Amino acid sequence: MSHILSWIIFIPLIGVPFLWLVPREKAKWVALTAVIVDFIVALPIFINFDKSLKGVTTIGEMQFVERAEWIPSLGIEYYLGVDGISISMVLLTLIIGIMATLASWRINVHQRGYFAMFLLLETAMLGVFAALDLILFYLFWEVMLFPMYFLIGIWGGPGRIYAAIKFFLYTLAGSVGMLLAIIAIWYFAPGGERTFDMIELLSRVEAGQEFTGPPIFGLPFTKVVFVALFIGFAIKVPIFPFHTWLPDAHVEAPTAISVILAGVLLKMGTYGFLRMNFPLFPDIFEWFRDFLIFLAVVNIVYGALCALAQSDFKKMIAYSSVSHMGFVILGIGAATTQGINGAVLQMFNHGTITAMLFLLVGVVYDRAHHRQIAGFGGLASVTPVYAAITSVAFMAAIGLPGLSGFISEFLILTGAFKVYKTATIISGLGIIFGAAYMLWAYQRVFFGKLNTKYKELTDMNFVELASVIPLLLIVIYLGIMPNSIISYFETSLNYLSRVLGG
Amino acid sequence: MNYITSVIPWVPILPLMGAVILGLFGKRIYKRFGEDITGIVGCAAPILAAVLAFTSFFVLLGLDPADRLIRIEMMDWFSVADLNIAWSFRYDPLSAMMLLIITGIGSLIHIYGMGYMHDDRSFWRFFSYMNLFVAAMLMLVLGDNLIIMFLGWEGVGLCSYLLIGFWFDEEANAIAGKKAFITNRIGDLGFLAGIFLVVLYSYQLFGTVTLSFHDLQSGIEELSKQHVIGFPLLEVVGLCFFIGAMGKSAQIPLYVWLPDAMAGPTPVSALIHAATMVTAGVYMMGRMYFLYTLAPYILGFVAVVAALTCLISATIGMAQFDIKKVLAYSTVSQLGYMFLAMGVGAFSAGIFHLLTHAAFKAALFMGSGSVIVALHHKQDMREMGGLLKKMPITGLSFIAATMAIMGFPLTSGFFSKDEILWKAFIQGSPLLWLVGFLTAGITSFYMWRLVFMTFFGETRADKHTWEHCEEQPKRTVVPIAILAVAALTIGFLNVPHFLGGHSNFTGFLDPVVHDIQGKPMENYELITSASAHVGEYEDHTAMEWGLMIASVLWTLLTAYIAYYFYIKKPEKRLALMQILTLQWIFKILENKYYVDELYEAVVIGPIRKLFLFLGAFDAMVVDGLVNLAGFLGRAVGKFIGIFDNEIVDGAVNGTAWTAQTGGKGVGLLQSGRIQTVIGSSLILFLMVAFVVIFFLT
Repeated sequence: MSHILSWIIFIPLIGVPFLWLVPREKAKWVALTAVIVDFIVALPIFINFDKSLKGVTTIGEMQFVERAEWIPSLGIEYYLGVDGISISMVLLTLIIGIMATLASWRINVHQRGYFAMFLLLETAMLGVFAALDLILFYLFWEVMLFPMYFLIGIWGGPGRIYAAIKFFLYTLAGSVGMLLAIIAIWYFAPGGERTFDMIELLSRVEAGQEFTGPPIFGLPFTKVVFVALFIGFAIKVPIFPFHTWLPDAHVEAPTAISVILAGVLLKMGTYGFLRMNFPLFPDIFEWFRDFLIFLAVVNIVYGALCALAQSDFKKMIAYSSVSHMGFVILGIGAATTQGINGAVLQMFNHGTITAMLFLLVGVVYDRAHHRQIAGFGGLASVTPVYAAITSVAFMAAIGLPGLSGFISEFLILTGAFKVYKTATIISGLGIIFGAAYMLWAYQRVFFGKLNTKYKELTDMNFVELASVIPLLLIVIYLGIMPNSIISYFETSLNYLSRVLGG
Repeated sequence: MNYITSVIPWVPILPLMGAVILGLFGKRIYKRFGEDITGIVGCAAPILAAVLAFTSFFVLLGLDPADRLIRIEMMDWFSVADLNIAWSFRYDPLSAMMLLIITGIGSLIHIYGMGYMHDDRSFWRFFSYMNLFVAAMLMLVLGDNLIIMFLGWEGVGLCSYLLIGFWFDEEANAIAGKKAFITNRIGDLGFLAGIFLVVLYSYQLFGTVTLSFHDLQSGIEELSKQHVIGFPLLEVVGLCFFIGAMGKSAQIPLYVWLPDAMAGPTPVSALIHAATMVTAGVYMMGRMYFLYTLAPYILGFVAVVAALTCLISATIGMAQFDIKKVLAYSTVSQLGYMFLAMGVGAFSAGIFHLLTHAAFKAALFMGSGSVIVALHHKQDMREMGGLLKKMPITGLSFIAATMAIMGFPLTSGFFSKDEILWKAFIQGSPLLWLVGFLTAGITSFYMWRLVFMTFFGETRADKHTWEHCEEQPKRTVVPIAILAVAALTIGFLNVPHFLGGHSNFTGFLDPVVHDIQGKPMENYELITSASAHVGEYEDHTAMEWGLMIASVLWTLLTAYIAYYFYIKKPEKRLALMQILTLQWIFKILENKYYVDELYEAVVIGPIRKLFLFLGAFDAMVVDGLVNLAGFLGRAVGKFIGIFDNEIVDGAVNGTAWTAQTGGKGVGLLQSGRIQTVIGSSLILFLMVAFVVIFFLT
């Protein structure tokens, strides 16, 4: 099929008009059909993907490329393509999309609007991972904000307005700098000839051509642009101290949106680092690296300690995301082959594991209508299936060998240890604290005397199981055979590691 | 050989399958077919695994000693660039022996568990976890590389956590489980750091890293020349792995979790917290003996830590009243013996003690479990006494195992402990020997104290309990008896030369685990100086006899003291306890030297304060700054609005419009109608773009 990437990106959107053709209560079926069809349509790219092509900075090695002029006067193109880094993220997005749709099953107000927004969000996310033109990338990036804003602001919890506005403004603040940086990159493109073509720019940088920009505020041009881009992406990850929107957004967002937020959106930040921010400015990256590692360690340890302090179940998991994304930063910062491969694997694994955690919190929230960890107790005796599945998910988050999280954390830590020994060992504390907050929360929710208020609590139903079990299987499968996903991005990332001087 | 390669992978897979089947369908099986069938399903996998393990063992014995190392590679696990980790097993005398312990004792304890867990509503869950544990433990010992070992290492930790908190209705049990897991995690970080160092340096030296023990051993000489921040690499790596062992095998300072772990069902204590999991650290050191041979300073450190653990936990054991707590501290102490042997380079002696300890300690725990069930889940020895009459098989088995642990001549503990004490004397220092020697006596004292308080004298149980107390069913007592027989006899596997034996067990292990000859430090200098001068063999027979007789007399003496104070003249004991100093000492011992309190004050308390502070800091300061920025933004906006209102006449309408729209926006947001406004416009835009792209370009 030609235009396959476009189809993948826009199939969710094609579903939107159909939402109005069916009764409102059936809208969810349309959405589910759209995401499943999208997944099936996308299968060929995973089968036909040539794992030996490295992509990254190399012209002609991106796959399934689509190119068309869009705004010729400015040289803006509709330019799509994937390499090892992006294809794994596309896969993640497609999987999370289906699970999040199932998690939306209980939405009972404004279903059409909800699913329209949802599908639009899906399209935007897929677009971000496939776009190779800077402006197209930025467009998808911004389009993502709108549905997110409404999804939190309308279908969220009691504090939704505050959370939605905070999310929106915060991310927007980051992307303004990003837009300016993109324009600057275009205007002062290395080699002189202006272009928004990411791969072209990257290959020029690799060939040794330099940005022609003048110093800004007395600082070297590249440093300023680098930092502007970095902040834009860092907010998304989120990196300390830009992380405070995340707990609020998570707590207020409906379950499905938390799943998307943690499962996919956070990865866009680190994807941005890998796709353009760092390889476009390898010299500045070298200068910035130590500080980046520092931030990573702060994220890991600080996030874990904050997670320990939370009394809200969802907030705790939100902070655990901060901690786990710190590992991604650590791996990227180390830039060794293991570190960087581990980082992308961790992006994937964190996506599936945290998605599962949020789905599971949603289960209990739907029934008890609160999320205070201390407000439960002894649930394991009334909801054994729920308790069992949650324990596996928690163990995956803790990084138990045999489950997927271990492989990525191990790769990141071995990779980082080659360059930053002390930082790696301190990050290791994050693993200990990680076990502490997870087990402590688990104990308070599931163990102890049964809280009599929840004597009648029902176990997970079919739809809930359907949304969690596939992720569970993925987590187990990738714990045993992680190579089946590593092989997709290894070539690309080994090369990127060289580019970044790891 | 072919038999082994095809059979060994199934040894861990069978119990894993058992765990999965029981985990998924156990409840249904239990409801439909009842307890017995569930139990049989639960026991099937370990027993089948035991059959495979035993047959493989005999096949292995049939091989030439030089060929007794079989590596089974199954498939890749993960590989990135120069790091290639495979799913591969290693079957050699060491892992073969561990397989026998795990599947053999494991099967017996599973059968015993059918009796012990009788009428428990989570009967099936118990067997699912136990199967999982057996699988993980088998992975640990079969793993051919450090990562598979680590997988098993963490896996057994998980099962230990699940089983300690098995009766999760009690908050205390869940807390004990969590404590075990987190304490172990601290050790695991050390283990991981060791792996990282190995990866880093073998990458620099050899280019590729597989982390297999085979490659590690062949590259060990190169590695031994490396230094990390000024210290010899292998010393640092050895320390890192030993930190892991401190957690898993409950050595000072990470031993605190093991006594609490007794909250789990007693079969769990017998299998996991006595016979198998806690000895993983000893196994690990044996597996990497080649590394420790080249790290003499760490061996010295290990010996000192082990000796301290040995003595301190034994003293605590003297002052406990909970029957399982006594055994728990005894386990910590016996693990100390094993590490003492490892620390002086007598690896085979440590591993042999692992074997004998597995037998007698499992028997002791199962015996105590039998007593506990008979007394309706009472564990306090002050409410026992005189049980031998009621429970002869349990009682006699227990006494047999006690004789083994005290080192009564010709029992298993006699051979294994004496070997350790001797090696500590000759390859370590007389001081290490003295600590071990003292501990032997203390051990004998607290064990006989336990026996006398439980099985002899007059009962102190209430009338009702005493009348209903009876010997347990066959499935409970037969496994105990079998293990008791083993505890008495398996010592003959390793009769030392001076007693006319051939140290068969040491010889059996020799192809894969070499003992250090002479003191570790001198041996190290011997290896590194390359002047291959081996010391003259000296005849120590007289000294060996002397030390052996001394320790036998000493343990008999302390056993008699226990007899004297607990059976013959209890009033003397009471009189003795009137002395204030003794009361003090007893109080300190009973409270385990207040180590838990110390940790709470020094480690856990501050961390709790820290995270509460950081949680507040994050909400108030970091997020506060964000909100402040938002507030300032709004204030500036308002100010400009006012400015506009007052000064710029023409903008009045504009401001009003902004305010109105803004208000409407929020209103729309709340009502939900906004979707139709902005949402559809956006969608429309993208639709157009889509059409343009697909059809017009």
